[in-house]
This record gives sequence, C-alpha cells and structure tokens, in this order.
Amino acid sequence: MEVSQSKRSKSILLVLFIILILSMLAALSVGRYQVPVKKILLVLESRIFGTPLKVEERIATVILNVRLPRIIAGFLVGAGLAISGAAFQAIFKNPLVSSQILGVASGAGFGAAIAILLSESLVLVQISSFFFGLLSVFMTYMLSRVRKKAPILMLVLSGIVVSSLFSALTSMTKYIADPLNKMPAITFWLLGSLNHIAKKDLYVLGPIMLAAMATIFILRWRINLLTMGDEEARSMGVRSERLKGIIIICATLITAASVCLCGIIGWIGLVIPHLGRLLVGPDNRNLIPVSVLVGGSFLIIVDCIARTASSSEIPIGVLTAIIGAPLFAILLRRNRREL
Amino acid sequence: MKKAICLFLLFLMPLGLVFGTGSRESAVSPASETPSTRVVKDMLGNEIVLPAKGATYAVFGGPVSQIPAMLGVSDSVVAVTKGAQMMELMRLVDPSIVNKPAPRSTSGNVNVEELLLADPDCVISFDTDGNIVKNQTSIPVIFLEGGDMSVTIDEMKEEVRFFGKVFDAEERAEVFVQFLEKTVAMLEKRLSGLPADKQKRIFIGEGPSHLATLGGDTFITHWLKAAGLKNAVLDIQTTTEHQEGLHSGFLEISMEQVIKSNPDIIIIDTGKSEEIYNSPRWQGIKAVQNKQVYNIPTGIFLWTRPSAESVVLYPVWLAVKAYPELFSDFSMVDFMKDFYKTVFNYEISDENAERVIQSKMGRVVFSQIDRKP
Repeated sequence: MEVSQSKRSKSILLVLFIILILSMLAALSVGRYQVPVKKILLVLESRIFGTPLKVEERIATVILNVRLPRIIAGFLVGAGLAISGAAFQAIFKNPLVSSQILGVASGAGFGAAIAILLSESLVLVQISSFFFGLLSVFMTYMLSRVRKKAPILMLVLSGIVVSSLFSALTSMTKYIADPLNKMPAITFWLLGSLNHIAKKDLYVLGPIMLAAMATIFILRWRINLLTMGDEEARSMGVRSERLKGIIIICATLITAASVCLCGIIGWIGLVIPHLGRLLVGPDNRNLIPVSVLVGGSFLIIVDCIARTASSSEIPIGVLTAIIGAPLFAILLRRNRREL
Repeated sequence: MKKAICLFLLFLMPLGLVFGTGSRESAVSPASETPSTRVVKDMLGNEIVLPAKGATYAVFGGPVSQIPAMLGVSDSVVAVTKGAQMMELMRLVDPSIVNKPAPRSTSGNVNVEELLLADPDCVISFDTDGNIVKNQTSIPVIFLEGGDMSVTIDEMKEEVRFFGKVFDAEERAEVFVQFLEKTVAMLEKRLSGLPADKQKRIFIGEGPSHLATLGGDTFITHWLKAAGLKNAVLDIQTTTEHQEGLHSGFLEISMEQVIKSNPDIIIIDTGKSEEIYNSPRWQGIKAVQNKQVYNIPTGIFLWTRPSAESVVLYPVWLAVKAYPELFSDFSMVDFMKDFYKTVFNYEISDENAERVIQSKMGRVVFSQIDRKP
C-alpha cells in the first residue's frame, strides 16, 4: 500500500513537471508580438552557444528581456507563494491561511506606496516594499510572543492587527498623495502585474526566493511532525518553536520578494496547496513538491492570459482571484467531509 | 407672516447683489431695470437658472480648471479642483486659486460639505462628479460633455466657447479659438512638405512602468495628427475599458506591444529617459536607438490631458521635437510667451517657459498646508 502510494505520487510529480515545462515553452511562444517558433529557437541557440544572432535585435529583446524574465518570475512567485501557503497551512494547522496571514503583504504594500510617494525610482520601491514586508512580520511575531513562545492564536490575531494597521497606512498614503499622478500609480502597483519585471530584479530577488524555497523543501518532513502538535513534535526530537520560526522567516522572505516583483497576488497560497492535497494527499513530503510545480505552472498560464487576452494588460491579481475563487469553491464542495 | 418674510427677502436680494459686486457697479438704485436671472443651457440641454449678475461657480475637472483664468473670470469661481490647484504654473497664472476651497480631488471624489460651505450658485462638471452633486445637494449642475478623453480639436474649441457663454466672456473665448486656429494653420504650413510615409510614430508611455498609454481612440491621436505625427498604438482602443488605478483613457499595455509598434519617439511622464536608454527591455526600439525619449512638459496642467493649453502647445512642442529641420527658425519659448500672454494674459518668464518644456514645473503636493482656514 505504502509503496503503491509513493509510486503514484512519483508519477503525479513527473506529469506535473512535464506540464510545467510545457507551460513554460508555451509562454515563451505566445504574446502580442508574434514570433515564429523557429525564430525563438534561433534566439535561444545564439544565446546558449554564443553564436551570432540571426534574427532582428527586437525579437531577441522580446524573447530574452521581456518573456523569459516574466516566465521565470511567474514560476518563482507562483511556486513560492504556493510552497509558503502549504507550509503555513501545516504549521497553523488551519487550511484557510496563506503566507499573507502575518501581514507581510500589507506591510510590503505600504512600503511600496510610501516609496512611490516620495521617489520615482522603481528600485527604491522594491527595497522599501521588501523592508516593510519583513518589518510587519517581525512586528507580528514580537506582538505575539508570550513567555518565549508565539502561540498560533496570538500569531493570527497579531497578524490581523499589524495587517490592518499597514492597510490603513497605505490608504493614508494614497490620501495624501498627488491625485493626478502618485495616487493612481500606488493603486495600480498594488494590483499586481508581471508586466514590469526586468532581468536585474531577478538577479537579486531570485536567489533569495530560491534559497527560502529550498529551505522549506528540505524541512518538509519535519513540517509533517508539526502538524501533529507541539507536544508530539517535541517528543519526536523536533524543536517546534525554532522550526516554526525558520519557516515563518522563509515564507516571509518569499512573499515579500514576490510583492516586490509584481505587487500583491492573492489566492495562489490558499488554493494551490488544496489542489495539491487533492492530488497527493496531506503528506507534506509530497505536497510541498507538488505545490511548487502546480503553483509555478498556474501563475505562468494565468500570466499568459493576462498579457494576451486583451490589447491592454489585465492585472494578474484580478485574474488569479477570478480563477482562484471558483476553483476554491469547487474544492470546498468536494472536500467538505474532510474539512 | 411667511409672505412678509418672502417680500422682505425679495427686497434684500437685489441689494445683496449690488453690494456683493460693489466694486464693479456704482450702487445707485436697488431697483435695477435688468432682469435678475438668466438661463444657461448646459451641454446636455438642461436649463439652469443663474443670477443675472455676480453668479458664483464651482469648476470640477482638472483640465477645464484653467478656462476661468483664461476668460478672466476667476473671481466668480468659489470652489475649485484640487489637482489643478496644486499645479505650480496654475498658481502663477491665477494666484487667487491657492486659497479657494477644493472640494473635488479626483474624479468621483467630491467633499459635499466643503462644497456646501463654499456655496456656489452652480457647479460646472462632467457627469461623474456632476451626478454626485446633483444627487446630494440642491446646487444646480451645468453638465459638460466629452470627459472621456476622446475629444477632438474642434470639440476643445466648443468647450471653451461654452465656458465663454456660461461666464459671459465670449470675446475672450474667441481669442483662444483664433489662437488655436492660427496655430493649427501654422503647423499645417510648416509640415506641408512632409510626405505621409516620412511621418514619425510616437508612443505615450506614462506611469512608473512607462507602459500606460493613450490609444488610437483618444484625443492624443488628433493632437498628434496636427503635429504631423502618428500614434504608434493607433490600433489599440483605450477608452473602451477602465483599469483601476489609471486615469480613464489610459490603459497599460504589454512591453511586447511597444516593441512590436517600434515607435520613433517615446514620451514619458515619470522618471528619466536614461532609465529607458539603459534598460535591456527597451533595446531595439527606434526611439531608444535614436535617443528620442522625452519627458512630457507640464504647464498649467498636465499636457497629456485634453486642455486648452495642451491642444495648442503640445502639438507644436511635439512637431519641433520630431522635425527640428522644419522648425530651425522657430523659438518654442517665444511661441509659449505669446500664447500665455495672448490667451491667459499672463507674462511667463523665459526661465519658467524653459521649465515647462524641461518638465521641471512642479506640483505643490501638500496643498492643504498653505491653505488659509
């Protein structure tokens, strides 16, 4: 039984991996600028083997500087939000949380808003957003500390407090911002889009996200122990407070980095782990890799829709909510006995 | 009793009118022979009754806020639009705007109590704000048409003429219309030798991403046509939908579409052109290769809005940037000085005219601070 279960998980993982690769290839070849597949291959060939470019420079720009960073960012953000969602659902023993529960998104949003208000530099916006994202979770954590421990309930309540505070501060920033220029920019930024990703964003934030994801990935079997409760985990030799701390740090880094890259994208951290559970069950050893693959493919595919469906960009946060909410509703109906 | 009060008030009304505008008229007799009211027809055909003399107005809408100053009737405007009030040049052209209450911030945001406090006889507004006022107050609304960013040059003339009628300053409105017609003719003459296939293509890229643009169905297409230019995204419609966080008429398009349209010139409103020159995403576009990325000038109001100022100056500035060889004997600064003097009766300094073109004319962001209580 155990053997067949793990075999089944393996084949599911393989299929999902193939889907991810296919969605990446598809994303590389669709867009408003139509590039024939042959030319895409020529661009990649010249890039990989260092041979001279046989196509126009503009086509190379589209493929290498516009689509490729977008696809990589889509994968990182989708996979990152899904993996942190899965980890949070395990440590909070609550299927309804995502990594935004501790206020990271509101904090990062406020950081971005204040930077847009005070400067015009996109780099500064990202730094400020990252910093405030981390700050808000730090505040939540400190607020919830009771006798060197951070009980789950206190964490959630503190998260609500900090998150509301930062949302209010964001609204305040919008209120005092220049209504012609800055205020619309803040609103638009908060909506989320992968349209602004540049290669250099990925050089900095990519490694951070990958490292945090790898850490959660390595710890995935310990996360299983956490779901059984602190007492049991301790009896198995896992220092649950420390483990919880590490996971919160990793998930926060991922979420703050993803808000930096593309604004606030909802629903992925909530829906994807549930989809994963439907496929491989609640065991985090399988669930975490599945979340990575499904989350990554999901965001890449949704982003393809966002940039090709209409002549203007559809904000991706809107699309993930439109697709995510009904999906979650279906999952809820199917799983209602287990919940 | 009621009747007596009414009669008393009726008697007071002309008195108040006379003393209210005491500086303009010599108060001889309260029993004036002219009728005490006049009727104004708004752009939707509604009839609004206003006092014949000394009516007060609230003007809602950024681009139209400059028209009272142009017509020399700012004194009768008692409530203004925050966005216009914050513009540095607007404050220089019409210093009185600084201390006026600004109940309208952005489209759809009207502070009704502040409006009631200002107590104008009527509000001049496009539909969104106008309906708010109409539903929540008894102040009559003079509705404007064409707030959807798709206006043509002729409709701009009509808008100013309409204000001329409302404010009873039709000659001043004609001064503007003539200046505009003269300008369009001047551009036509200078650009007459330009073959259609040599026309340059321009991309308006606003916002921090430089990707929020005005499509083929917006006013900019007409402005560009007057300047002998083409909108690089002529085939994209941007007034049909509305993206949250962007001004109506603007939509954010994808980077790929900009590369596909390959514009000769790019106009941005945020950041610096070097950002674009150095970004790998923008490489391969003609405007970047030829270093033709410019910041949008900002004058009395933002030039990427359909205003009386932008319909005259923006096409000229663009034409000079695009075809310098056809304007070798032309001074943009002198042209601007002539425009502001003739149309706004305001003498702009050389330095400030330069600052408008260089996009250095500022906005006063925390305008509430220096508002007197």
